[in-house]
Parts: sequence; C-alpha cells; structure tokens
Amino acid sequence: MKNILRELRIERDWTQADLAVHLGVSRQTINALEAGRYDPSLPLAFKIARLFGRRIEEIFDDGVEEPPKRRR
Amino acid sequence: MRPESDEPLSGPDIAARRYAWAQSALAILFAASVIAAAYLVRGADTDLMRWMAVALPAAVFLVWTWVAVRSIRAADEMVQAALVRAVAIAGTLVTVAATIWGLFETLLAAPRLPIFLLAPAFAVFFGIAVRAQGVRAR
Repeated sequence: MKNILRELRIERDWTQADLAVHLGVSRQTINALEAGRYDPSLPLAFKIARLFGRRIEEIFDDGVEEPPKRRR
Repeated sequence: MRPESDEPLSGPDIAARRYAWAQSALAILFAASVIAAAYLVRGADTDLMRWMAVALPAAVFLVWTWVAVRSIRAADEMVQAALVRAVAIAGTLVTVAATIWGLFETLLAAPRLPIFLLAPAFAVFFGIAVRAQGVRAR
C-alpha cells in the first residue's frame, strides 16, 4: 500500500529510529512501512494518523477509487 | 545526520537486541551441555546420576524455548508476524524431512539419526525463513 509516511517523517526532521520510538515499533517495521512492503494493522494505522494529526486515508492509499456518493 | 549508535531505540528494538544475545548464549550453552552430558553419562556410577546428566541439556533447551517464545511475544506486529510465519515454515520442513527420513530408516535401514537433532534443524530452517522475509535480529 502506498503511503506518505516518509514525507511526513522528513517534514518533522525525524529519523526512522525517532519515528519507531514515537510509535513503539521496531525500526525495521518503519522501513518496511515506508517502502510499502508492510501494511499496518488498524490500531497501528490509527496511531500513525494520530501522531501526524491526519486521517488514515490521507496517509495511506490502497489505490482503489472511491465510488461517487449517491444523492438522496 | 546522527551516527547509528546514537539513534534512539524503541521498546521492541531494545527487546530484540536483548533476546538475540540471550538466545545466542543459550544456543552455545545447549551445545556445551550436550557435550558435557555425553561425558558425564559415561562416567556416572548410578542411573540417577545419568538421568541428572541428561536433564542438564534438557533444562537448558526448555529455557531456550521459553526465551524464544518470549522474544516473539515482545516483538512488534510486523516482526511478530514474520517470526510466526518462520515457525510455521520451519516446523513444516522439519516434520516433512523427519517423516521421510523415518520411512527410509524404518523400511530401508537408512542410517539412524538422533531425534535431538530436530531442534538444531528447526533452528537452521527458522533462521533461513526469517532472513528470507527480510527480518533480522539486531
């Protein structure tokens, strides 16, 4: 899954190790997340979203287009 | 940029480092205790002493297993998933290899292999399966 985790981390001038400490995960997990090799669980995705003050879908992109909303 | 040694370590990274050291020490201790048990059994006068000699590597192995399980529980979600997959892969490979060898051993008189070698075989397959997933112990 594509994501902007790396960009958000660099904006804050954090290393992968810094982000790992903030999220309570290993540095290799941060590396795998940024490379798109690992999709986080829902609790971890929420934790990431809260840490950066964004919504989950602003950070992660599953590549699926949202269907147009129906009008009532 | 900070040198790698100055970078902060997260909880799972600290735990992984600690458990990697503990498991390396226990692996060496297990090998040494198997060799010691072989000598002690030969020199023992009573059955009780022989049983106690063999109980030594058995106890070390139980501790090693307990530490290995603790290390998996202490890992974060990604590493934990990779380690559990590696346990499944290694367990399957060892079971398949042991069963096939056992058939040849029983039906065709192939050389007898000691069952206690299953543990090191499992450790080797486990290590390969972990590395193949791009995960490493720090």
